[in-house]
Amino acid sequence: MTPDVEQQIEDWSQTLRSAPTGQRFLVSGGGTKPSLLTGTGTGTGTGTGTAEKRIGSSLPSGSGSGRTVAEQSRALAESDGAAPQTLDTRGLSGIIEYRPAEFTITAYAGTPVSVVLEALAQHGQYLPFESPFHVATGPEERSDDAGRWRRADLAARTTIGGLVAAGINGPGRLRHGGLRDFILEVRYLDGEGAIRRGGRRVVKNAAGFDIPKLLVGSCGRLGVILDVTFKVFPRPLDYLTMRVMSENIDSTIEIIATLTTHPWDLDALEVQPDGSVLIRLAGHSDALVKHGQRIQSRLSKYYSSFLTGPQQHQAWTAYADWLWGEADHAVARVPVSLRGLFDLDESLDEMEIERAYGSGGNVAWLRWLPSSENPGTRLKRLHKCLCEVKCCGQVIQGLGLGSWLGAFPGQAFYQHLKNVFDPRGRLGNF
Amino acid sequence: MTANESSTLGDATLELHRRLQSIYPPERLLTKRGQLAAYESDGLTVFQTRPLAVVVPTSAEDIVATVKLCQELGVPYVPRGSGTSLSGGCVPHAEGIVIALNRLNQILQVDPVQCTAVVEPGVINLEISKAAAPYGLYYAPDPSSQQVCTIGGNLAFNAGGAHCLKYGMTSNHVLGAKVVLPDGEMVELGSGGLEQVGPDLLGMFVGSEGLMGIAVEITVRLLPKPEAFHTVMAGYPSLRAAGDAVAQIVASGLLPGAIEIMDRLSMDAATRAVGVAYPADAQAVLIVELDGTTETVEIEKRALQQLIDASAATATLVAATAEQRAMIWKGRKSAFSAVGLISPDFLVQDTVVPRTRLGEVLEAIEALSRETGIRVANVFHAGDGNLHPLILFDGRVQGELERAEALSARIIRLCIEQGGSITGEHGVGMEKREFLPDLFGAADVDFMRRLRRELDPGEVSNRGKMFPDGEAPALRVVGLHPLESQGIASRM
Repeated sequence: MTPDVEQQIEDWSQTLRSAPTGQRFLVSGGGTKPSLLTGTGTGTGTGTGTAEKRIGSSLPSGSGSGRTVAEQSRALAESDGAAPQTLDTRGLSGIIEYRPAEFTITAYAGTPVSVVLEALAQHGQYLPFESPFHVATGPEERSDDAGRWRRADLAARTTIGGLVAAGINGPGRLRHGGLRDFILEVRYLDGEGAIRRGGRRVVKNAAGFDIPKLLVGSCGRLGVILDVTFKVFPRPLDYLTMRVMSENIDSTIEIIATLTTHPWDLDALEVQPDGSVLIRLAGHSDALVKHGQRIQSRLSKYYSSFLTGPQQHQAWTAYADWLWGEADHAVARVPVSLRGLFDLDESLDEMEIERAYGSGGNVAWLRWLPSSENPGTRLKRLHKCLCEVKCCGQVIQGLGLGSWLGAFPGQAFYQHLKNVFDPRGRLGNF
Repeated sequence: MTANESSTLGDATLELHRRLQSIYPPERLLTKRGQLAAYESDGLTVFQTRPLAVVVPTSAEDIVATVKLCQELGVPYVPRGSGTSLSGGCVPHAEGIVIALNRLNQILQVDPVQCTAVVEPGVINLEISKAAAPYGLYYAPDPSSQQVCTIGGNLAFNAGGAHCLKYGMTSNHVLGAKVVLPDGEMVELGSGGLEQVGPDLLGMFVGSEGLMGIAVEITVRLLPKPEAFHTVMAGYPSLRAAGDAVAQIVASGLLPGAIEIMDRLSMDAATRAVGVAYPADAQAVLIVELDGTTETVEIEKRALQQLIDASAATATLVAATAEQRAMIWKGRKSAFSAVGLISPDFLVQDTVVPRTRLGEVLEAIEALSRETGIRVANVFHAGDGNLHPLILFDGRVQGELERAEALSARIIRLCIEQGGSITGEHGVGMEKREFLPDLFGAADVDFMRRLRRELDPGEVSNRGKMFPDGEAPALRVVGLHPLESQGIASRM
């Protein structure tokens, strides 16, 4: 525990406790992801580009819907007469406890993801769900390509608490589980300023309500995350990637279904924007090639190739860059099912939205360049389309950052929980 | 109901029965003493209470109507599957009813493309794997009672099993649920797939011990059956030595499917019960199972053998056939009920300790056992630090139960002091509710209770569980659960 950080937490607690009615708070981390109310001026630029306009009223209501950060702040201020106060978690930084032999790590919410990953790497460990800004196959390099996010910078900037609040997983989700499956304990402030703790720092625990899981994806609306404990895993010794060329969405779905129903322990299975399928195997290098050849023979009707070394790393960094690399693009994340993929893909084609499908077809990453005349058009159509197919999603970068798309399942249950976590709505709503 | 029985019931009970008759036909509304007997206790046999009625819904609509009626009348209800809870999680309330979910037992869909199954809450855990087997898939969580326990109960208590180390608990395998909240409203939680947006409402619901409502339809993840297994049993001169070997295996970076330990008492019991032979001179055996692709298991098994050779192991047996593997697991999974052969009664614990402190905690438990003169058998999920000390006693002897409970409390507090938890996979239920504040502190327990009361102000849904200061528990009985004495169920 770090005394000045603890003092900061104590101060926030007091601030929340003594705040007048109507005072709102915005939780902000590194501003790289959708805690989505990142406060003005602290973000990376996502959502504050030239096309800064409010999305139409067809989106679900709520302080986060379809507005830029600046607008959200203004709207909150107008409705309640008080400017929202930003709680910037970057001051809560540092690893509190790392026990490699126990395979658990505890860090303050504002600790950069890169710091956590580096500490883990020294003991051959990692967070298997993979931060989307981190490429598992090799060391991060700084790239200075103009107009691109530098992922190394992103990992240095993304905070561990923000990762939890955003609830975003990378390719490791398919085999190892998501962030929700690795979070063990969380300390947080509720909307009334009480310092609370949920879960415990052991790898297995069935006591009490699972509050750590609830806060995954909560986007700062239920509490201010202060510190987090994760279970970690041993990092695989080596990786091998196969690229399989698929001609159309039908073949892609067939490839995924063939692979996920066989006991091949795929480390990752991702459909790239160009339609090719990346298959990653992990483990002992002696086993990988033989393992890969068996998969190749199973998929013999498709053209495939093995990627190793720099080639392999390049394939995965290119994929990450597609997602996070273009600041002027809007990006949305939409959980999907393999069965619904065909119809969704067709609709996305009509809307001229680029897409990749992650975690064996369990999530769609959508990307588009908002038009300068009607910047919100695609977003509105996408929202309508997702409502029709009873899916939901969230804009995680660019115009409309934080917008909820489609249905909100379980809303009645959420509202009950919100009434207790944040009865006066100080932390905003979806 | 006979005239005699009905004359002994109060007006409120008669009114309850009358109202329930408007929802249930006579064959699905049980009110006679003889009918209710089977529902008086669960896997934790020290508690026993007769409910006012048992209803057997066959649809979600039945459940909604029942829950709304219970709210209207302020009558507590207990949802129940097969009643195998080891924490008293489905012990009835004396002024309430039991909602028996066993007839909601349809596997609605097995989808071999998406690798999911949609099931009703009364489906038996193992039945899901059987239904998925033709596609080479299975449902991973494997509590020892998987032949009888239901998926609804697994979800309510976030059940574990021997393979949690690699595969996680029930919560890691539930992808969606239709839930009837305590006020009767139906909500859908989870996306039905691996990913979701917004707060993890489903993650919050799983493990809420029936306090936040009843899951009426559940979507679970199915996994491809591992291609290869490698199962090893190694004998050790002491529990500590076996515990130290676990720490070495975990630290090596191997991620076995399961790492289990049995002590001498448990081995002797398992030998008597199912005839499995163990190394004669060993005070503990370690069971390690690797699974995965043929290539990976081939490499990892050599690494594992080196670790075992370097440890204090005195004997090693590698399962050469599927039958030998099954035998090792049969001995392990029968251990709880087998202990019934060497002691008339026992309490089973479910504490968790940090894995690096296993050896130390096991020695402390042995010392407590010597100090109190109470025998303690140990059989547990060593890989996750999830202990199951079995405290042996004879309930017919005056004061033995109380002494056993006192020892149990000392072990639980010891594990909390070591940075552990009071339960790894059985849940808090009625049994461990007094210890919840020791683990979380009074303020956080109070906060959880506020969450519960927000959803259910009258605490109608599974009243008396999880939170301390619940109403007085039930009568105590001694002896094995009827299912245990038949060898059908066991307590882990």
